Amino acid sequence: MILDTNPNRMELLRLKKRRVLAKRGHKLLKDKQDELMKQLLELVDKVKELRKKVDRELAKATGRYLFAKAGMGIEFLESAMLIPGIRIELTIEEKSTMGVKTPIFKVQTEGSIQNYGFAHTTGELDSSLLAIERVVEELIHLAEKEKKLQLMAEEIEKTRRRVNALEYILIPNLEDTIKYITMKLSEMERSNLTRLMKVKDIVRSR
Amino acid sequence: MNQTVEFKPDLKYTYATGRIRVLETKLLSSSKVEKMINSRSISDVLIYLEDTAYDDTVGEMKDPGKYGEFVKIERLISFDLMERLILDPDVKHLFRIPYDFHNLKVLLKRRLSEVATSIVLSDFGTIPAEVMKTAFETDNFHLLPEFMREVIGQALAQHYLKKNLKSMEFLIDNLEYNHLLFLSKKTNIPFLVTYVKIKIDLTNISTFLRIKYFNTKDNVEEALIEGGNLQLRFFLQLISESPESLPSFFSNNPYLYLIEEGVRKIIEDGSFSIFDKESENYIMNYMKLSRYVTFGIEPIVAYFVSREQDLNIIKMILVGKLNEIPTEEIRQRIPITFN
Repeated sequence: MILDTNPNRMELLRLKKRRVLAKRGHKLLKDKQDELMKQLLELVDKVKELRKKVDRELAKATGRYLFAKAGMGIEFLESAMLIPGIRIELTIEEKSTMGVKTPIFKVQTEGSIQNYGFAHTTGELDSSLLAIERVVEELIHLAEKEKKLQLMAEEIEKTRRRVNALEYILIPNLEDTIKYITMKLSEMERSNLTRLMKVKDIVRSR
Repeated sequence: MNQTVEFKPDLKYTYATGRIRVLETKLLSSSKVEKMINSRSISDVLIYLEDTAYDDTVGEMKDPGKYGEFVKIERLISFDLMERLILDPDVKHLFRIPYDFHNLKVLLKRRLSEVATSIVLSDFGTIPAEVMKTAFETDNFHLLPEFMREVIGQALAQHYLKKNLKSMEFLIDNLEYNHLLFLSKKTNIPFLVTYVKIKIDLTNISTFLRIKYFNTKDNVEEALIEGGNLQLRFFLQLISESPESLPSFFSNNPYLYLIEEGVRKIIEDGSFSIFDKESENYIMNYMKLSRYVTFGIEPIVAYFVSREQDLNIIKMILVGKLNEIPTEEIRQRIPITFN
C-alpha cells in the first residue's frame, strides 16, 4: 500500500531514512524475539519441573495434615492453630530481562510454625505443618517464575506483532511508496524534459 | 504390652459392667475396619457402620464431609453414658479436665496475644464454657475452682517471665497432667493411675522425638511432663544421641516396639504416622486388659477410650475416602480397635 505522502525529493529522502530505521528495528526486534523464545523455553522446562514438585509436595503435606487433623480432637487443633507463630514477609523487587520487567519475590520468615504445646498435638501435625511451610516457600518461588513466564509470553506476543507489522506492513509500504515516489519523480523529470524539448522546438520553428 | 496392673473387683459396678459388656460388642471390630478401608465409596463406609454403636448418628449424617458434627454427637453420647454409669466423680473428671485446660489455653491465648481471633470453647469440661468465658471477661476468677486459679496464676507468671506463649503452654500441659495424676491417685484405682502414667510417657516420648527430629529450639526440660514411668533425666541423657541409636536405649522398657517402628518411619520420611498409630495401639492394648475384670470401673473406662479410638478411626477413613487417598496409605495409619 502506498502511504499518503507528497511525491517529492524531501519525502523520498525521509522515507528512505525511515526504511533503514525500520529494517534495523526489525532486525533488533527479531533478535529480541528469538532470545525471548530461547529464554522462555528454558523457563518453561524449569517451571514444569517446579510445578510438578510443588504439586507432589503439596499433596503429600495436605494428606499428612488431613490425617493429623482427623487423628486429633478438633478443639485441640483449633487451640494449637489459634495464634500464628510464624510471620512471612514478602518483598517484591523488579528485574529487567530483555526489556521485560519481571518480579523477584524475596521471602523472609520469622518465628516457628510450631507455636503450640506438644501434649495434645501429634508429631504428624508438626511434620505436616513443616512440610507446608517448605512448600509455601517453593510456591512463592513458583509464582515468581510463572509470573515471569506470563510476562515474557506477553512480551513475545507484543514483539511478534511488532516484527510482523514491520515485516509485512511498514517496510513493504515504505518500499512501495519509495518506488512510487521514485517513479513519480522520474515521470515528472521525463515530462519536464519533453516539455522543454517541445518549447525548444516551438522556439526553433519561429 | 508389658504393663501389669492390679485389679480389685468392685461390686458397685455389677450392673454397669454387664451393660458395658453388651455395648462392647457394638464397637468397631478389626474386620469391619478392614472392610471400611477397602470400601470404594463414602456411602459404602457408612453402610458398614450401620450395625455398630454409631448406627443412629451415622443414619442422620447428611454430609460425610461434616464429620465434626458426628464426632461431637457421639462424644456427647459417650459422656452421657459415663455420667450415668460411673459413680466416682474423680474418674469422670479425669476425662473432662483436658477440655477445661483446653478452654483455659484458648482464653489465655486470646487474652495475651494481640491478634483478634474468634474462639471455640468446648462444652465437655467440668467447668461450663460460659462460666470460664465470663471469668476471663470480667476478671472474676473466683468463679473458677481453686486448682484452675492456681494454674492461671502460674501460667501468667511464666508468660511474663519468658515472654513466650509456647513456654506457657508447656507449663499448662505439665500442670494438667499433674492434676490428672493427682485425680487418678485419689481414685485409688491402679488401672487409672497406670493409664495416666502411660499417657505421660507417650507424650514425653513424642515430645522428645519431635524436639530432637525437628530440631526445634524448645527447652526439653520445660516441654517434658513429670510423673510418668520414665524419668525426665532418662530423656535428658538421650538428648545428644542420634535418632538411629534411640531404640537401643529403650530395650528394657515396654515402649521398645513403638520406638523402633516409629523412629524407623521418622528417619525414612519424617512422618510420625507410625509413631502416633503405635502410641494409640499401646493404649488400646492396655485397655484390653480390662477384659479380665469381672466387675469394676475398668471396663467402663476402656469402653469410653475405645469409643474415642473408634471415632478417630472413622474420621481417618472418611478423610481418606473423601480426599481419594490410596487404601494402603489409609491402612497404615489406622490403629487397632478394642474388638
